[in-house]
Amino acid sequence: MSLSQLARALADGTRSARSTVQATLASCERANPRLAAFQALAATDALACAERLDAALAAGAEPGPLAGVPFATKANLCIAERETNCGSALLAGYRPPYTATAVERLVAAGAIPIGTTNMDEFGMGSSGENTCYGIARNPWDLGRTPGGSSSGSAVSVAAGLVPFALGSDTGGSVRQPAALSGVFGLKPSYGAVSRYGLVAFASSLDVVGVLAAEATDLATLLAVLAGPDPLDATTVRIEGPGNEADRELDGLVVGVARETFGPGLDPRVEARTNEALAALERAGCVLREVSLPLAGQAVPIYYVIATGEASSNLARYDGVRYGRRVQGDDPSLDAMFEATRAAGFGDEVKRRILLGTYVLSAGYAQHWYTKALRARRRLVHEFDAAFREVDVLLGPTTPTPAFHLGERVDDPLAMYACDHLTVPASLAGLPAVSAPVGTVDDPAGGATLPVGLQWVGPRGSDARLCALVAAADRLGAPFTSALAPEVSA
Amino acid sequence: MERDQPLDPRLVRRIAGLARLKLEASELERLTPHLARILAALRAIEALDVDDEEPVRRVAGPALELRADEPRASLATARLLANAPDRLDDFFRVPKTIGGAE
Repeated sequence: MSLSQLARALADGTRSARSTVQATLASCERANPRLAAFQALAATDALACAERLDAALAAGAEPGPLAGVPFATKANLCIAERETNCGSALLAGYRPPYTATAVERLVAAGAIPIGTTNMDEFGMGSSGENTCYGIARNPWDLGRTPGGSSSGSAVSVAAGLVPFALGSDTGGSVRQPAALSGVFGLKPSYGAVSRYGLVAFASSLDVVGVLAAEATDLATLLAVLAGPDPLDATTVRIEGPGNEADRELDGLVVGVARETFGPGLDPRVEARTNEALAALERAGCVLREVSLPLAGQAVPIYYVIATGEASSNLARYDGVRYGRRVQGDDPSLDAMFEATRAAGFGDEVKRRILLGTYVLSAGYAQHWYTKALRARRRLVHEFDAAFREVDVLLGPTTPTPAFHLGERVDDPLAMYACDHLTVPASLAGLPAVSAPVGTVDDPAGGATLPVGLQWVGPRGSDARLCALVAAADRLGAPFTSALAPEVSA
Repeated sequence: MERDQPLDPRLVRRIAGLARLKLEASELERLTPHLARILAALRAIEALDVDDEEPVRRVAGPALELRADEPRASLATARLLANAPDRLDDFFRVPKTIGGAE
């Protein structure tokens, strides 16, 4: 059942929150051994939350817009007293004393968190494989990645277990798994949604985002989540959805950057993207080619900035206040720091901390980090210039469909290349949505895999962008999403 | 460190020291070639002619709102200490930092 159907069924009394949560928990328990979407289900808390909601509604309370809707949360969003380990051994058993604002707002709107999902450690990865907990599997083909780092959140939605899930997106961690798993993924403008209670990776890039089964759900969720938060000084107010004409495809000027059709783009993904663009043109959109030269260099710019900020943010994991502590043979404080971090972090996190330390170290920072920040400014200008000509920018979300698990784990550069279409919007702080645009068949036979189309809008235009994605969805094929066959069969 | 110094195991060990990461010999052997290849790819930014641009310190947007400077309740000490790996009364306990190990 979709988010709106669920909320309506609860409001008109045809279904209780308790029965919804019970059914959801049962299907999650059945599916999880195969999919590894969830790290943990919070059955007791979820049922208690549902019972409170049922009692409040019975007593005449007004149902919120998400009343009785179960959802999943990525394991880097704090929920008070529930394990929030960020997919890291270092934070095994960490139970934060507070709840993330994003989660609080959803709960206040009536939604019920039912469990935490698997993810790449601290959000660092594009396949969900960088974790010592479970490696989530793509329900379209269990041998493939669902995309990362919000891997389990994408799977929980793609498999039809929950209508939506929370994720986080630093360089594409909501959009990529949305594309590879065949669901909708919204990365809001930087600052649109509070990050209070989101464990930091790269602070100038991190945003809280959502993965959803239906296009219309994005606007509903954005309306609940967005808005200034006194607990996060980086939050800003974003624009409303605009008037009706702003939300129509007829007359919409769509920019297509040639940099997003460069080498490395799978011809099947390119074909689906072109079909979607042609369908939009038939619906009255005006296609215009634009140029974003720095977008072609966004991966190195992004990795210098993101690793620098990560090395600084992750300095807090020192075994003193929370998380795991390892002492080793040397009884000194420094040895404790080093042994704790050596034992707690996985390979990818260590690589990024080392790179980040290098690009920020004395004598190097100007050459690397500051230079990357200057290039970032140029990219922002390029986007600003493009949005003077066009309303939205469209292109593929990922260069290829879902790849096999294990295929890129020993090749960090191949893994980073997955990000090249999503990091430009992250660097410029722009809202972006990945929406399903049909499937492709694997030439080796067997798998049918989803493809995602990325919509990027000007800063603050999140609500309009969601409305446009929903308008495209109403056109039908190729803008059709379907639950993964493995589960819906 | 010299900027053009090649990223060899010695330099990686030095960076690891700055990052407070203890690396086993086997890890150093595994991570060094990865890091050298990644860094070589990141060098693409050297060719960008962007010196006339101001570094981005914050992605542009409306001025940030500051909250009122008013005292408010914070989390209880016991809750904040609940995740401590080691504690003594209301304090986090760490290995001795002065006087050296005997």
